[in-house]
Amino acid sequence: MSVVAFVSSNITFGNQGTFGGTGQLSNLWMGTTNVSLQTIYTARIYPRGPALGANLSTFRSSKWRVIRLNSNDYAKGNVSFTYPITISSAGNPVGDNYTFSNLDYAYVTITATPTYPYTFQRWETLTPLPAGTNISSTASTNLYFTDWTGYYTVKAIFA
Amino acid sequence: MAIQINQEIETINKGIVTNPYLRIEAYRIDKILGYFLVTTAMFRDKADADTNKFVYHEDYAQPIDRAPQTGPIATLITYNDSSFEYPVVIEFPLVVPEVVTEDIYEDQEVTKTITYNDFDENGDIVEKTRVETTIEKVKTGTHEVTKSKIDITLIGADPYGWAYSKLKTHYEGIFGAGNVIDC
Repeated sequence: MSVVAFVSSNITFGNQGTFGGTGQLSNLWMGTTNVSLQTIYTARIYPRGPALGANLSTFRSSKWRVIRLNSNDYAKGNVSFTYPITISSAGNPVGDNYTFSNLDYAYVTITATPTYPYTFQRWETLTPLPAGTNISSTASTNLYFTDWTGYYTVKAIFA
Repeated sequence: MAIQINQEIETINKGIVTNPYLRIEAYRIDKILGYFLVTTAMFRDKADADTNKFVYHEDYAQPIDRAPQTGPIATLITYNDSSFEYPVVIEFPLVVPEVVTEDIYEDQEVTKTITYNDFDENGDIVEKTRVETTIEKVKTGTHEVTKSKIDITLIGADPYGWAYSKLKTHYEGIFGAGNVIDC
């Protein structure tokens, strides 16, 4: 078996969310258990971690877009991605562990779900600056890959 | 060109939807691996889908000024009391079966006589031999196997129609034949 070397050092494939942690690389090589390469290829939703972002920054800046959803108050409402995959985590920000490829999806849909008796007010930016820019007053709305160039954080406002 | 599903589904972001509307949003032909890939999205109906597209490039250039879009139905849906993610990216193989003849190899012990040079007690070169046994792959015959030959001409002259035909069949596997119609 041959081995392809990307660079000489600082290769970290660990900390990849749900796909097996530091065992991921050996899984990709050996194809013995929890083979995720086919899963990644098929779903085209890419697990991401801080080390991956740091080491493969070229991918992030040219083809990869990373977004994070926040709520101003999780007791009043939660946030989720609903397209091209449904990702939710009640009481927490969403999106840190995934990357969407614009080669397959032109946009993602984000959805804010208020907790009764509170109501959704708007989506606004945290980054890029200026923070607080109103994006949409619709609870379920699209973000296009042309909307951001790197890490993009938006916040749902509930009241 | 789109597909309507005549079945009721429960959604996260658009309530109960009685006749979901499915369209292809992107096409890609992978000539190397032999796949036709489509990216799909499901909407409440055609009117809902029409509010989620653009006429001009300039229409999406400025996100702040863009007309609000509610997006597709969330991928996690409930149908017939079971929840699942409807398929978004679907790959259709562009292959035809072809019977080919392949060689059969087996590991066999092979004994070889190796000639090598050595030196005698006077320092003169002498030729000696030794016998070595190794394991080698030896062709023992042939057999016929059916392989999937990449053939992108399967698409024909209408790639969009071909893709929708395949998509319809794919979704009939989820919602049942007769419940997925062209529209």
